[in-house]
Amino acid sequence: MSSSDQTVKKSYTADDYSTENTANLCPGCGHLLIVRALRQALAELQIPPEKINLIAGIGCSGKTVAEINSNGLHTLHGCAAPVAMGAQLANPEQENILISGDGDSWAIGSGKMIALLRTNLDLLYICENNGTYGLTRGQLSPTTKMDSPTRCGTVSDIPPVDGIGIALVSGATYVARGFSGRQKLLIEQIKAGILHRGLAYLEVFSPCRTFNDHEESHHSYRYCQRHATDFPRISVVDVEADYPTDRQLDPEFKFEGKKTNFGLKFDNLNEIPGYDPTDRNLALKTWEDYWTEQVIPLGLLYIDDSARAHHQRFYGESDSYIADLRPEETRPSQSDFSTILEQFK
Amino acid sequence: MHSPTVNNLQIEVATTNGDYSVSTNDTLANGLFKMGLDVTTRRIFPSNIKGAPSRYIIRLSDCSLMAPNNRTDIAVLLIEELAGEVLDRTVSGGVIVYDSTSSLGEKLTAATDGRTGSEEFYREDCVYYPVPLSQLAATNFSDSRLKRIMRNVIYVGVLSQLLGIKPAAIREVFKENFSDKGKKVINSNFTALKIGRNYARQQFAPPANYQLKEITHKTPRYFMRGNDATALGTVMGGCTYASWYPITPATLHGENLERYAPRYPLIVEQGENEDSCLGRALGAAWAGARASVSTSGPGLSNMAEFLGFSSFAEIPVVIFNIQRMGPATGLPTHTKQGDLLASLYLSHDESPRIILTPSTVEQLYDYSWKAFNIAARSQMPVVILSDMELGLSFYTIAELNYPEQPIDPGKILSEEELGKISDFERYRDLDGDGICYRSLPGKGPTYVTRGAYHDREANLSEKPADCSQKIERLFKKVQTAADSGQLPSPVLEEPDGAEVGIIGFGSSIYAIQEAVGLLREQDIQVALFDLPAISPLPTAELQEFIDRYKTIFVVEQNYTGQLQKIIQTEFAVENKLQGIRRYDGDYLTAQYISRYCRECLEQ
Repeated sequence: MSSSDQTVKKSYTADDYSTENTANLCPGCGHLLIVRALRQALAELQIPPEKINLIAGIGCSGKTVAEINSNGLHTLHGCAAPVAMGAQLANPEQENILISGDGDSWAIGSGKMIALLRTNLDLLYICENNGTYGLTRGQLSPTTKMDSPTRCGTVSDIPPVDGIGIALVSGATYVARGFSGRQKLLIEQIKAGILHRGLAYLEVFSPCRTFNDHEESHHSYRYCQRHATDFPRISVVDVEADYPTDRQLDPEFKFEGKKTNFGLKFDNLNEIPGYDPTDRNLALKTWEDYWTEQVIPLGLLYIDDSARAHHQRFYGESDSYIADLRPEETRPSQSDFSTILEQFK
Repeated sequence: MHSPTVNNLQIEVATTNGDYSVSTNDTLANGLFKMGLDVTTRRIFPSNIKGAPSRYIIRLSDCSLMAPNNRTDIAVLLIEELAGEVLDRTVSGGVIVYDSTSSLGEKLTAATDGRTGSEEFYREDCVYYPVPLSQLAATNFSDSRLKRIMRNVIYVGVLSQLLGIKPAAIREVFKENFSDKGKKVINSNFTALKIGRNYARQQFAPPANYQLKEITHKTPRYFMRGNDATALGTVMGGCTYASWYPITPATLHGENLERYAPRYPLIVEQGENEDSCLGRALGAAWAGARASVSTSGPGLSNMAEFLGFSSFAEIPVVIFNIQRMGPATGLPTHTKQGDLLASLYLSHDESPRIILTPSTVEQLYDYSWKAFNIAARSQMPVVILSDMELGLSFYTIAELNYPEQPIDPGKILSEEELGKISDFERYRDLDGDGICYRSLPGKGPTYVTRGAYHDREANLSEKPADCSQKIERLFKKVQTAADSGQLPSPVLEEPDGAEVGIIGFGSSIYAIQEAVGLLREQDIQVALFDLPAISPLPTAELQEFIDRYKTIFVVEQNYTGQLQKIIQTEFAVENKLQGIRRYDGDYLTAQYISRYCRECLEQ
């Protein structure tokens, strides 16, 4: 447990986001690379550990909550979404990050995840997709590819769930695909997802060394490296006040995130002719093509930084949140009480 | 004829649901309440939106009885399917108002004229009042929807004239209900009321055996449903986050909260299913809100895993369970008290929780606001067990008080307090009462809250000593709550000479109170124990009560005697307990209880 003297600290390094605990994951696990990227991203954004809520489901992905110095909440299988929704609404000043896996999200948690995605709740949702159930020793996951056998030889004969497609049609306002093996991009994707004011869905291909890194797997390091293809790659950059805002014309644009001095820079938008990451229909069509080709596009597929964040439906522009109320402020006054009772007379 | 009964009768309307009569009957009941009378209502309706047989009971009592009666004095018959059963329930000398311009009306008129073929609808000891309700509505109103609504208002006018219900009281209710709909709507209702009154005045002499007299009260009285009281208690308990999923009969509680939300610091959300609702509430509570959910049986089952999580991760939450008839879909619109054991043991392995069992509308309000303090103090889920009868029926109640306890946030350390501590541990039992100090995310040190076993510092632990200490401490908190003085006390009524006691809870209490009176008239003195909670049980009071009487009847609305089982597990009761149970979905009445008591005692 870390003491609260962190609040007086001036600057944070990646080490400040590590703990003395271990998630006990296997050596080489892709999830550990996500942990590393997450720590680095948090350090680059200089978010104090106590300002971070890390809300996780159950599985190998959820276990990583032990390794990030933050307010962790390790919930139930498939159930991180509603818990994160309540936590974020009670105190939107915290940076809420939801950690889930492919089974946790798209098997047991699918209904809850869709309910979350349609809210534009201001949080980063990282789905650590390894295409297998690692914690129960390698069973089929909802994202296992059809011809990829499990440890005991089971081959799925039904198509995998398309988490990115679901996120796009469900209303996520930031949709990105990362890979544990591409740290630099992943760090930028995490940073942008945190800065994004709204629901950021970041699906990360994160190979399971023990059960799903074999030759026929579509979730192996090797397969991902070989089939990786470029989506718009992004970097989070400092921006000046007069930064160009026409996204069609300029690959760099001022990004209406939570911190005004950050912008998004597209490194390769000119290499993808005609692509506009703010056009959802185009994003859907492009994604559909990639999906059928079974390649692993990496980058930012879609962003809408103009949508209202979910908590603003309740709070508007006010920053007086229910978690900050003094106890006596939570109860109506004696005169309010009398007014309420009038309707029952 | 004897002198008329005053302010003491039961009205029963037999109709089809979805015909707008519920709001009309609510208005009639509210008008009677505004005359200063003691009024309670019951709805008997199927799980269906339009077109199925449905009844509405309004009971008036001159001695504050709030249970339904098994005898009806004034019947309003609008459909044939229910005519036979309502007539069977109607007392000798009863009043039967019916729509003479309906097929049932023709049969009833034939029967009263002594023509053959419709004898089943004829009671020579009752007085029949044929009113061309549909025709009067059709002649006076043009819109087809209005015709159907105003047919109902016209019978209210007829009853108003026959029984002496002040039209001003009913008009006041119309004004309150339709203040946002404009004068035109209000005036239509006024017109229909007048049509009914005029028709009855011109055609009939009022029944000689029933009279209503206005009563002026010096202290305020309120007319509300149980789900109004629990919602009000939620707001007064300082709830700042509530989540719900539509389910009969709990929906009204959630909708009430939706109406409060814009005016108070309260966020209300309809979730995507019940366990998500509880998940959202727990997320909010973890982050610092005072949170609750409301549901009924199937939703409670759905919440099982999160209920255990709440208990184990020590995140406070209040769960309102408005019980209905189960299992599975059961019958959503019928009442039962079948969720005692489910509420007590729901979720795998062992996870303690507090379960309160309010009995009256006043208690529903009181226990509801107290529940938020108890949950916050105990860092534990608190279940409020209401039921469909309490939730959806109107009751006349005395003054409700502003909460006498301040909001108790429980053991939450502020940033300032935490700043002075160098060795904070989330799960250290500093005070020896099982309850550890919390910090809130963003306002203290970092650690992981989890549903897995952990050590005092909140680190995952599989050490046997950590595991046993954790579970022992969780259960210790239930005893701490029992000793805290925060829990409601049992309400006891113990007349001199009583040798028999009754233990009950929830909606049964109104019927039990009336049964105690009926038995007293037969020289059987009965003591009453109104149980406030099943977890923790009020052990000392309950043991004394059981010891004091020869026979103890445990009244509950389920088949297996769940409360009796809970008591027998805790106490030596020497075969003293006798179960009085109802589990057919119908409302418990005083007659049902008193008959059973008498038969048992005579054996």
